[in-house]
Amino acid sequence: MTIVSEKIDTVHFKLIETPKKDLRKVWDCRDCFSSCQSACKTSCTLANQVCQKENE
Amino acid sequence: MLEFPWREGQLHLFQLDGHLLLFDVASSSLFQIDEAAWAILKEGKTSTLDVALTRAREKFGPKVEEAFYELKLLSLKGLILAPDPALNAQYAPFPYLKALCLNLAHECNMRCSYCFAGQGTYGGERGLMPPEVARKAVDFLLERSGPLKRLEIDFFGGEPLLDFSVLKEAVLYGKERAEKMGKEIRFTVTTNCLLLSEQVGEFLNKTNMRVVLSIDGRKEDHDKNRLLINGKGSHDLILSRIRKFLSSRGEKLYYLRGTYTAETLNFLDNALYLFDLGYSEVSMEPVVALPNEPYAIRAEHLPEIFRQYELLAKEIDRREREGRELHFFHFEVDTTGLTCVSKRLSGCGAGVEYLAVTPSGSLYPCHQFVGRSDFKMGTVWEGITNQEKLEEFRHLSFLEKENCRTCWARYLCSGGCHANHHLLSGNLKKPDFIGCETTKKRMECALYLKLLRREREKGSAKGANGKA
Repeated sequence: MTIVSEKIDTVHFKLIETPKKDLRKVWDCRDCFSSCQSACKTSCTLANQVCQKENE
Repeated sequence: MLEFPWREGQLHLFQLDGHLLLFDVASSSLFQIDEAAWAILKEGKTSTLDVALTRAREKFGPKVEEAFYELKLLSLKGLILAPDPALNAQYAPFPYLKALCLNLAHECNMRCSYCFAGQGTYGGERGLMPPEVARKAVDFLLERSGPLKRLEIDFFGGEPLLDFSVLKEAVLYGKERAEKMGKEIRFTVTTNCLLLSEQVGEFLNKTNMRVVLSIDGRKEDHDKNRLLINGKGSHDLILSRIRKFLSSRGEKLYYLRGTYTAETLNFLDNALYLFDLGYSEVSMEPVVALPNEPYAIRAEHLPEIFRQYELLAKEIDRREREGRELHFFHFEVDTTGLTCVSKRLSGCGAGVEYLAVTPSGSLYPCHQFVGRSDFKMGTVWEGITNQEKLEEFRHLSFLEKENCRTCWARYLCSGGCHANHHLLSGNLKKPDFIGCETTKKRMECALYLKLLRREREKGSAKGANGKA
């Protein structure tokens, strides 16, 4: 699923995906399901983990 | 304001299969760009703005003006080359516990040749976790979770199903206590599947547990390393268990998880084998091993590993165009619903918000540190007694790791695996080269797959190979 936060009409830079919220806002929640949830428990990647607040 | 030359770690320009891609690190925005845009940014990595534009115009003429206008617009919108305040953030070590790994068994009913856990014992005594330790661990987690609602308990080993009765008790006890406290515990079990009987499956299904099912792929590769105690391969037995179990739960809440080694680098074949059996959730993970092991992955293997990941992304796209929905774990990079900055800085939280518990109740930073005696942190009865170790882990954000601050993948990788760094470099703050390179390649392929999926959504007839 791709999400575009706003319609941006460009030709040379085509936006594929951007976050729903701005990562650069420095805030501290950590109430997510995101420990070492790697499928092998040895190669954790945070990229797979998703903020749960969005689902509340 | 656009500043050229831009700094290392602000952007990542890469190409796959003729597609030019741009990842803006601070905003986690992904773009497909054309040659004019590429030329501006490529030149801009080492040149001032004027020089970069002049050189780009030599090749692409007036298109450069249009591309530059768009670049300015996107920069103003904070999508390209915007500042990254997280780099100067005041990182606050987390005061709560949110996840435990319960090593229910320091024992195993298989003898996998590459097992990082010394075939289940972590170099120590064999044993199973008694119920009182499991209950105490659940209490330990809940009591130290503060205001957090979402907690996790993962059952691991050795083989955790060897201690199934305690697993059941821990789950039921945990659910009951969590509910009373207004919290939720998500349970996961990683298993070699040998003991995945109908009875076990019923409980896992009834309690909605997530499962990680270990299978390396095709029989000839799986049976090289995943051996029964009698020395024979386990593929056929395990696959039959997997089939019955996943059928019983409508094939949800699981991952099939394989390991690849220097001797089985063809993880593409093995991932596709599992996908083509009809399963949609697959992970292939590099083996964790010291460099002197014959199956250890070395730098010379990286070109082949990169090729395998690139081909896998294309093959997934091809199958998805035929109507399947597939999830390869390390390609499921969700840049749209990212966790908070602090989580991104701290990574897995091992040693602070995530701990492992041995059968006797000892605490370690994570399952991989179990058995490394210097890393014992306390017990579930006494709590954390090794304050020095706690403080060390509390200051392991990627801001403090060598090379991570300027790495383009930092917000997706979060500094990588502390345990691997310690194992391979002897230093928690020094990521290992092979791990870094593998992670970055996986991220590139994951981002490339987003482009392919987006094209498909827009109705483009072309696949990864540019053909309809």
